[in-house]
Amino acid sequence: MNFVAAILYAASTSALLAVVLGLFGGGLNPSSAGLALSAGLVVASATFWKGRTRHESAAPPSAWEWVAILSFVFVTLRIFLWVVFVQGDEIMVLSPNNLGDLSLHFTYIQFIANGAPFWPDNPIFAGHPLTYPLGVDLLHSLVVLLGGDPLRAFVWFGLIGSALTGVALWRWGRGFVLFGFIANGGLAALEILETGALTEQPSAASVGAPVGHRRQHVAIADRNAPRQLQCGRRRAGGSGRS
Amino acid sequence: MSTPRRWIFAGILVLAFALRIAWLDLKPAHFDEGVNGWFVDQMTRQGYYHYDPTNFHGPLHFYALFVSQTLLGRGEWALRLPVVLLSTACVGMMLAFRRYFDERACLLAAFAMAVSPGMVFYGRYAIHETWMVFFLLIIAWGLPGLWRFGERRYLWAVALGATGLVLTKETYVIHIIAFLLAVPCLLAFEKLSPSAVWRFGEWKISLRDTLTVAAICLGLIIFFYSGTFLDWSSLPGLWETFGTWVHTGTAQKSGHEKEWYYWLQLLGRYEWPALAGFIASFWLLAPRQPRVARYLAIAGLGALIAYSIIPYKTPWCLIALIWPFYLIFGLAIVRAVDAIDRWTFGVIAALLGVSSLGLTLTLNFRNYTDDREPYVYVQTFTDVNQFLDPLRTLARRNPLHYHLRGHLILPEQYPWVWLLADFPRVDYPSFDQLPEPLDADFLIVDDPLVEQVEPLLRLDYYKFSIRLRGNSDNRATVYLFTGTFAGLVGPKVGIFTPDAMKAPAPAEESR
Repeated sequence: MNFVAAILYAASTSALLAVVLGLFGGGLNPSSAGLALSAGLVVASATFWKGRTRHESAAPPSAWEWVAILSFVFVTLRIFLWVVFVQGDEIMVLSPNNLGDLSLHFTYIQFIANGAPFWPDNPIFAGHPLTYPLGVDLLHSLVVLLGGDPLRAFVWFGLIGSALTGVALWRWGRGFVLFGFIANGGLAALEILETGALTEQPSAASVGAPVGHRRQHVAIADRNAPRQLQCGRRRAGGSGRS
Repeated sequence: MSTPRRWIFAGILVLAFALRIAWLDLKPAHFDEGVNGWFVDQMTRQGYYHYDPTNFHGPLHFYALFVSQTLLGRGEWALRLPVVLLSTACVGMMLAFRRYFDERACLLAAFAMAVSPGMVFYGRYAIHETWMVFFLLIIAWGLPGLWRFGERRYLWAVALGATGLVLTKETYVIHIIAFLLAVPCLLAFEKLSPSAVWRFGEWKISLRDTLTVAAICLGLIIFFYSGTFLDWSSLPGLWETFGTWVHTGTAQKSGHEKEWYYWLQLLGRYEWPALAGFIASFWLLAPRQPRVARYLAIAGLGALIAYSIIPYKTPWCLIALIWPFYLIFGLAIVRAVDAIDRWTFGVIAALLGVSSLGLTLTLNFRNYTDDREPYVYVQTFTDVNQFLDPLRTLARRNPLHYHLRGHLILPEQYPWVWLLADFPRVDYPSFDQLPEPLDADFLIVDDPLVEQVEPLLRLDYYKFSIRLRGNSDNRATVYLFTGTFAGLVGPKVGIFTPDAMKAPAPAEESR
């Protein structure tokens, strides 16, 4: 459990420090991103070090609990390894629910990574401050500022977040809670009895739904550029490649 | 294990990892890596691996490559990383055999495997073979444990090892038969020449344990072969494949047919510690030799004979055959050191190890595309970098260059379909269906077609010739549009200018 807390402390520290650095520096840049993430790393290391001697024993998982663990792992891998992917020239998402959400998060991430002045305006509602709780997007933009691929980082964040969630659920109520979490679709899951198919889409051959044109990376980034330049802010480079 | 030996083992592991990971993208993607990478792209698109029993191998490797490419991005480095880790784990597995052998023998075996030219060369390739070695080692570790100790963990090892083999490559049948036949062979031979005492242990595994293990292994096989339950049509391929593979292995039409002694040639050329182990196997014929060593030697020899009989041979299969001989090499050296002369055999072992390391360094970091090296088999030449480097530079400078248009008029599309998958406007037309106009930002044309293609071009191009793959005369000509690639091509590269009489002016054409 210690490592769950350590990673959460690290994420919180990095995001909070990024806000402070953004407010004082007028925006984020690769240096402030490196500083914020390094601070998170230090906090995580200190947490690990402090709890290194603490070992809590627990009964090993039973056969059914293994079923719950494996189910959670497979569902997680399925969702987040395909959370967003590139097919030819299109950006695709597995879940249709992400069609709108992912574009919005992607906009926030690129907006902040492009050096938007803090506190940033809402990039999709001009003249209004950004009021969305953007902690994870802020963290994501720090990774992008350090050269991380913005789309691939969605996969990393999803998998790491799922692992942390899984451990926390396990500690709360072991296999029952873990399985309950992934089975919370309720009666909608009974559709499988009618269709007999495990696929999210009618056709197994097309699992994804297009969310946009790949070169929109560039378009999104560049659309903000004139405004950044007008404000005299430095625009972060190297984040346009998927 | 004593502290100095722990350090030695750690050093061997670090050496193994360093040899496998250093300059991992030095070699351009091999044809087979292109095929595997293309499958990974299909998995990204479809959501699962569709097993084709007529052409390709089991699903596990592709899922590992898929995870690596999804997390790390497209590139030789990401594609090869899973195999690098696995190959290093194989070296680590050698130490697990200290349960049955002298620890020094295991360290020697681990070192021999760490610096083996073949293990390193194919441990730096995104192909299936290293998975075979890994799972064979797990089975080889589990079987004697079942025999001697009868504990549940050995049953898990054998069952998961066998499952891994089934999920990797159709040749698992040969290895499983070799393991099975080695038992009666050993027992029969012991009538003539008894082994050292190594009793059967008490069986501590319940029926419930056995059923659990069987259910999970069967579940894993079904899970992966059914495309993670999304493609049940693939499942019958599990047995349908053997018809094809028996035909491929014996039809003598693949171009990969070799003489029966091919493996021995490779052993003599590269794998000296393994060859020494192979020769030392005959020492195990003497009475009162270790039973496990005899068993592994018989199983290893059985697989080697089977692979020798099959005409279809590709050099990477060798690594799935030689691993038992590393253990026998280690065991023989330790015996000789203890019984005959410490210095003489210590020096012999050191010389074999250092020679092997030298061969490994030469092969993997200097001659890695030299097709005079038998291990370098239909390898893509570094010539392709003359085209890929400027193209990737352009894409790095401005992602809009991913939209460059290109035609690859070649008899084979691999590894290009994977290497250029980020460039959606690249196509692979056949000669009788060329696009009009043919001009593009780049073209690669099979040399026999150059004379027919050039009259159709109307723009200026940098033009140079490249060799695509080893073990063939496969040459191609690259055309890079001067307007796009200006400043990215070396000064010695010639410029192709179309015949002005035949062609309209480029500006007019572009309108």
